[in-house]
Amino acid sequence: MNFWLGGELGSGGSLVWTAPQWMVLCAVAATILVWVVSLFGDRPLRIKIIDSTLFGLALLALIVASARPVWLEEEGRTEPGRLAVLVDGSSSMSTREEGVERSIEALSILERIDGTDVDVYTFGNDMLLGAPSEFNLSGTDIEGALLSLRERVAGEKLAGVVLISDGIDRGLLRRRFRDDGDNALPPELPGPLSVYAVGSDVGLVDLSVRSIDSGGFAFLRNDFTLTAEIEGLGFAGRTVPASLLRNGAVVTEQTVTLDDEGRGNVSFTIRPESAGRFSYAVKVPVFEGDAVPANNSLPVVVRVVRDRIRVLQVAGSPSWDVKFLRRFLKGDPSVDLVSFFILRTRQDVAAPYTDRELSLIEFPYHDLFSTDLNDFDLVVLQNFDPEPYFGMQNDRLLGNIRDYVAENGHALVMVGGAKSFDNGGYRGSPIEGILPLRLGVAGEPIDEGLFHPTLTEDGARHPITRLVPDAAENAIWWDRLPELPGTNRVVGAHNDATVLLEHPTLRGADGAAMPILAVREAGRGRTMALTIDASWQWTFDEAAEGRGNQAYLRFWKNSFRWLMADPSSQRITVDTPKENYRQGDTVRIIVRARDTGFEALADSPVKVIVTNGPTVIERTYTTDRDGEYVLELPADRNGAHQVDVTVGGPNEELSASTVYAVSARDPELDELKPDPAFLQWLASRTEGQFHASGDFAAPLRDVEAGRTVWDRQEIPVWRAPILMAWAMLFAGLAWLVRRRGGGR
Amino acid sequence: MNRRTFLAALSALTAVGLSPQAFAFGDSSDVDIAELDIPGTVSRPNAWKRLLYDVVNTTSVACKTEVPRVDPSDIALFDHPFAVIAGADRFDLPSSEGLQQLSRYLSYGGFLLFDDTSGAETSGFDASVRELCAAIFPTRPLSPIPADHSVFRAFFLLDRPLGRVDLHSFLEGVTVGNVAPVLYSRNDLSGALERGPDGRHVRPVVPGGERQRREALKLGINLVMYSLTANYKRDQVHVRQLLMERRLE
Repeated sequence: MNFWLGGELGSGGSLVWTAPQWMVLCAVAATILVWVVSLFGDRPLRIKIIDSTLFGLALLALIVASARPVWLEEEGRTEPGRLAVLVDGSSSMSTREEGVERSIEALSILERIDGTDVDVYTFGNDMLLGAPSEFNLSGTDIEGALLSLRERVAGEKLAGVVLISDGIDRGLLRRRFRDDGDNALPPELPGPLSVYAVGSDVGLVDLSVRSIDSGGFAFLRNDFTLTAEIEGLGFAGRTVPASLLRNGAVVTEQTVTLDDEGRGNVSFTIRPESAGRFSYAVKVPVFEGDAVPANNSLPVVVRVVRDRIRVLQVAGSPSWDVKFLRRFLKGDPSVDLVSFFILRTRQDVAAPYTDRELSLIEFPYHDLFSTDLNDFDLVVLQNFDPEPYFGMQNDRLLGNIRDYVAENGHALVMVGGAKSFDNGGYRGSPIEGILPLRLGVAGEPIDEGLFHPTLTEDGARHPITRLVPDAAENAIWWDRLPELPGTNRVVGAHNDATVLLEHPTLRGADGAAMPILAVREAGRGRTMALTIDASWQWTFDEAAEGRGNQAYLRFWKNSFRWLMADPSSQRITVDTPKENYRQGDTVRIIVRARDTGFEALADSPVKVIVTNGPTVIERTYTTDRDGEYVLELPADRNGAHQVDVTVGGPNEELSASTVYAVSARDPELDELKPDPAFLQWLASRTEGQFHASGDFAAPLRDVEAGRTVWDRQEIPVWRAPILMAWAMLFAGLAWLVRRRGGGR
Repeated sequence: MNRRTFLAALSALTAVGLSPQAFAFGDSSDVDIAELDIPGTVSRPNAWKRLLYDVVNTTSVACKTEVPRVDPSDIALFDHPFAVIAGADRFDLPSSEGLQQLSRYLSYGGFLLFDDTSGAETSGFDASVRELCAAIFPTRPLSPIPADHSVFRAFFLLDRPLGRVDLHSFLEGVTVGNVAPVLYSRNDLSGALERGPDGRHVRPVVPGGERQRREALKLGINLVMYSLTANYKRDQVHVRQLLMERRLE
């Protein structure tokens, strides 16, 4: 019988129709159609009734088969609950205490719990099936692990849940415990919890620099404080040294006394003398037995910016040109201006006034151009002849200005006038060597003819003379500025100089148009020479025409930005979007190159050297059509990284540099002291069991916990031979009756 | 050389605009004083020439010692960053175009001195000055200039703005930011400075006589210097040094 039914149909089962409804309906419709067609034919009515009934029964078997009946039997059985063991696999578990890692204790507990009904999981920020092979996961999220477990068992009751950890949880659960105490709620668990704390702060020795607060940036020549938080497990009440390093070299050292919890702050006051990025690090010694030597030093890169540009304006006499430049400088909140105007010369002392009547003070030229000089970022010499004041010290004090520019990286502007350039006696002086213009003109040193300065090709692109972004509009701006009443004559431009404005008719000694405005990178600094004394007319005449004074303001603003080597005005720049990176980040080093006219320097060789201690990475490439080269490097090594870039070939090689820092600090290692109090709270809040480190007992088990396992048997009745036999039997009988009755 | 010959020589020097030193190139870079050509005002070019001559003689400033007369609505006004309006009686306000140009002139760095030549407590000129200032600076009224203002220490240390008369103990002015583009003397400053063709002073100075005239000239020099240096003398380095030398209280 079982053969005819397709299997053994038990009594507890039920018939399930598995075919889709539409398929059954189609089969019924087709069957009815076939059956109706079978009614036609010439035979007696009696025969027709019998054969069509038999044929209909045969078709019924086919309809039943098309509904795909299945005989389904299900039987459930209960299995005992399992024990889930969650092992903390984070880096903090590899901390050494008296030479032994915490992980050893964790594995020992695991070994004692292990059994056939135990499922072991490893967790950090995520949870993985299996015991940990290494304890190096980044992060510890106990709540996340418990929730993952609950989701995994999907409502099943476990015999128990075991947690093995040092309690240094970086998820939300411990934070809630700290904030809310007993009011904090742990997640619901699928079984009773047994917590095994591992680790002890007894014997734990670790001195570390936990953090550095630098504020991210500092102002040039302004003190800023760099505060490091020092933590010393096992160092409570002790005084330890802390060193401040800059670019790898020790700058200063201080001591810090740690409090009862082994914590203390040490502050270093720094006065940056130049702008840019600087790498600092705070370092504490590595004592014997230090649990994590890697956290004894922490690097940080600080960006030093100018708060205000300090400008020294020295003028040989008050004039409209002097007035308007001072007015511009005084009106710029980013400028800290010190002006000295010579209000009276030796020729004027014959006037019948006593010194007591005058408000004049002595020109402190000696201090200004020696001890105080480097307090300024920029010196403007405007129609100033130094000889009457500097006297015998002329060469020495002018030499100071040369060094101030070329060696110390500051800036100098010389503005024209009857006491400037050759007329100021600068020919052959130490300053001549850094000026953009060559002095020693033969004949009359001043030309008083009206002229309209011409913008050179370089001037059309240079950031100083680019008054508006659009080149055509910029040319219009320069064209409409007024004629100027004369200029100092010069021999020509220095070889390294870039001429931005030139005289329309006068020629230099080399036959080229005589420069009116030129700039130069002189040593580490920058210089600018403007041979006119009437740039003030660019503001006043423009105002007369109702166009405001933007041309004048933008010209001088651009000039100061370029002179200050504002990043936007440097030909070669190298930068990274951030100063400080974490390990695992990607560092984008962006190099931008422009020629002297500030046109993008395309297809130019670029060499990037990244130095990190003994490790040197070197890449050579060429700039793209935008004059850019972008290098991406993984932040995979701790410490400061010096980036040196050179662009160009043998004729001209320009360089730039920057620095960034990578911190290798694993956040897991920021805190090493185990937190058994948190684990104890977790156990108690879930009515579980807590086992202190070294205190082992069998985990809690819920003996009633278990799971139902369902056995399921399916017999496809639609394939049973009985249905086929049924259809064939009735179809055959219908055929016989039909033939016997004379049908075909 | 007797006194008469000396004064004549001085006058001649002034007339030809000869300056003992040259400090700038191109005429437009030298300092001059332009009288605004407004009906009802007084023209005293010799007073301003005399002042500029003394500026050249006393200070390092290069001056042209020419005194052009310029209509306020003439664009040539912007060739002369120092302008003056003197008078005793009411004068016509400039046209609206002239007012707009004066406003631009003073906003972008020009300097305007009013000189009441009436020598009286009140005058029609004073009323017109206030109307003109209100038209140019509707939100910034003329107000007294404090005694420690830069104009009183721009070159000389002064404590009183004397002119031909000594009726008003203070200057008035319009202050924008930290500087005053407009200053107003009501003691007939130009009257104390003006000389005739023979080089002699035209008017007596009361009550202080020549000593007062000397102070008036010092004020004039300070006004020129202030127009060039603004609040320069308020820079810390100057104040500190003058205090140290007890030249300032």
